[in-house]
Amino acid sequence: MTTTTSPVEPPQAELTQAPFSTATRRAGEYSRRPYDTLGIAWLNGSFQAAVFRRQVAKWAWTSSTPVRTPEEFEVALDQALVELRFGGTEVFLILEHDAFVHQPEQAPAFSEAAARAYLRGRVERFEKEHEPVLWVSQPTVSARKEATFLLHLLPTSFYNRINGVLLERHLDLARILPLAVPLQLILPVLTQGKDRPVLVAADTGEATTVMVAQPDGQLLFARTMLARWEVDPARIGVEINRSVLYAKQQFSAVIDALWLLGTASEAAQTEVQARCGAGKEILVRNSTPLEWMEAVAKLTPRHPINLVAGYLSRKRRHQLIRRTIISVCWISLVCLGLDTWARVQEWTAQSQRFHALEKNHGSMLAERDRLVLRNAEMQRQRDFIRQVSEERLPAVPSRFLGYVASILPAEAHLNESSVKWDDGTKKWSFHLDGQVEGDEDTGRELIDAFQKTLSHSALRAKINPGARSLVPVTSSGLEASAAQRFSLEGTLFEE
Amino acid sequence: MKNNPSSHLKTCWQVLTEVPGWNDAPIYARLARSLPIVFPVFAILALVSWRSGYGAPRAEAEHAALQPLLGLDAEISTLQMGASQAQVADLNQRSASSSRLLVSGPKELPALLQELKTTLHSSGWDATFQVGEIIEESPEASPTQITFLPVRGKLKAQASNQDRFSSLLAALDRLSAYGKRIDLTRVAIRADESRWQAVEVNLRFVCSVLDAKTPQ
Repeated sequence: MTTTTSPVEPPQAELTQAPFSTATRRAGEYSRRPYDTLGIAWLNGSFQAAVFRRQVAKWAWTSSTPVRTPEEFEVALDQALVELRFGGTEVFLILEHDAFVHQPEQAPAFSEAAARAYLRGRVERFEKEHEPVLWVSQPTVSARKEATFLLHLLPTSFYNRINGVLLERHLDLARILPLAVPLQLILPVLTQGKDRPVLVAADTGEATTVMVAQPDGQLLFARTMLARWEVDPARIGVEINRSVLYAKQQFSAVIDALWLLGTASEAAQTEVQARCGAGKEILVRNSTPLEWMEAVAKLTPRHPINLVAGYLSRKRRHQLIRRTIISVCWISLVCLGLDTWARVQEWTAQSQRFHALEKNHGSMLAERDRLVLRNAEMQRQRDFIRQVSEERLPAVPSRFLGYVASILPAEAHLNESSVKWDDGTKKWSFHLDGQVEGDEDTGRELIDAFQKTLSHSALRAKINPGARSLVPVTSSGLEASAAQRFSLEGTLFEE
Repeated sequence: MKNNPSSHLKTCWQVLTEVPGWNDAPIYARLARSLPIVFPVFAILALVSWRSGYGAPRAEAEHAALQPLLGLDAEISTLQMGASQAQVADLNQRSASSSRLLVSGPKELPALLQELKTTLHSSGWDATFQVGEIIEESPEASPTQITFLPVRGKLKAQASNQDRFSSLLAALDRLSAYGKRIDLTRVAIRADESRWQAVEVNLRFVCSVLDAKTPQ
């Protein structure tokens, strides 16, 4: 394989305006950056590569020989890496290849889930008939009530081969996009002021890709013709005319503007004008794969048409898991380290305390004995104070006598009164013996009242019923006396 | 195959050692990539092993060996917390106050009883006292430190004492409020139609057990 490269010289103009077939560099800016992105447009045998820094193309290189197989791709890639001195890891690929199939499908339109299930079924059938594929569906405009899609099917073996080539060179394939995507992206620029569908015919290596879409980018259909307008412009003109008619027939779309994109598109303009009839606006633009790569470079890797979006999502998830585990490990290590340090400090302090205790063992024993004696002496003093001061007998006898004298009925007087403390029962007992003037009933009433008052007083006297007596005073004669002798016994401070 | 442990382990290995842009990186690159995880994990294991295998057992062994000493220290702390210096001083003061309520022994009684007679005489009563036998306090939960010196007395109202009952109550109160602890354990009054026959009182003084056992 031979490649066309340019000498390493300062660029003559801005990169987007530089010839695409040369590796172009800006003076003084050529340095490897780990976060640069490598864009590759591998379109039906053509191979272009460009280095993007912050989504802006900096250097580009193109292979002058056809690149059709993965083996040729590998050689071209090596050449591009050498020429571009690419220092990053991320790569995106705009791919059009015989192995990359674009298959229109019509799915049930009543729900998205049903459409997805239908498409999955179609893919499974395709895989059963051919081989496992990476696939992604791209919705297209439907003229009927069905949901229509363009299935992009890339054989897994092909992907693994390409990805393996990249992995061997520490390159990470982040995006694989069909050409329809960048064409859709540049469509709004081409169709400013237009409201009808347009046809875009792009020169893509050894083939021509035709795409019909709304001015806002909504895709009607796309097809690839293995013909170049440099070689066979008549056939290109016929195929473009067929596409125009197909759009009118299937989508009722009247196309009056046709864009021819490519370096040699002017050569086909006359032929296309002749084949498609009058009234069509034929526009030519020297659009290159570099322009398409610049459009793709601005896309997020999560773009829905990215064939390896799932892979990237999984990779991002793995990175998150890895970073989380690393964070947890380091945080745990720091926490454990701090805790261990605190424990060591604690153990050291404890050890020092132990040594101090060992050193003072004798004085501690003496201190313990002193404190034991002190506390025993305090307890003895407490007992002493309690026995002397708190267990002192109150002046109950004088209070009792005074109270009895105050409540004794006027008709009564006492002959004997005693109050006594019993150490055995720890109780005060009393005995009253006296005489009350009046008959028996009167005497009983008076004594009852006296007894009741005594019981309800602060002295809380409890009369012993067996010791209570009330008997008439007998005189020497037989007539009844008008006085009654009474006797009361009991205890004080009863509950 | 999804539940195959080796498959899971392989996935974990690939996730943890993933080299960006180099999915089939060789083992040395993956090992280098795993260092940010392996290092803290080994450091954690080393720390845990050191703590559980050396640090903690050593501290526990030291703690166990010095347990009696720690027990002694704890005992001293507990004993110290039993009372503060202020409490000790307060207790000494109260104990001294209580001591002043005691009589020093039977030998002090005659002088005290003479004082009581004088006091009661001034209240209109003539008193005679007879010292009884020392009462041994019944042992309770705490050993007794005091004993009682019983005294029996008879009070006779002076002829000039017109208000005998009130003066008797006042005399009894003065006994209770005396500078020494005097427990009035019994008062018995007998009277006939017009005059008092007798007033008997039983008192007890308090002295310390040691003083009571001192030979007189």
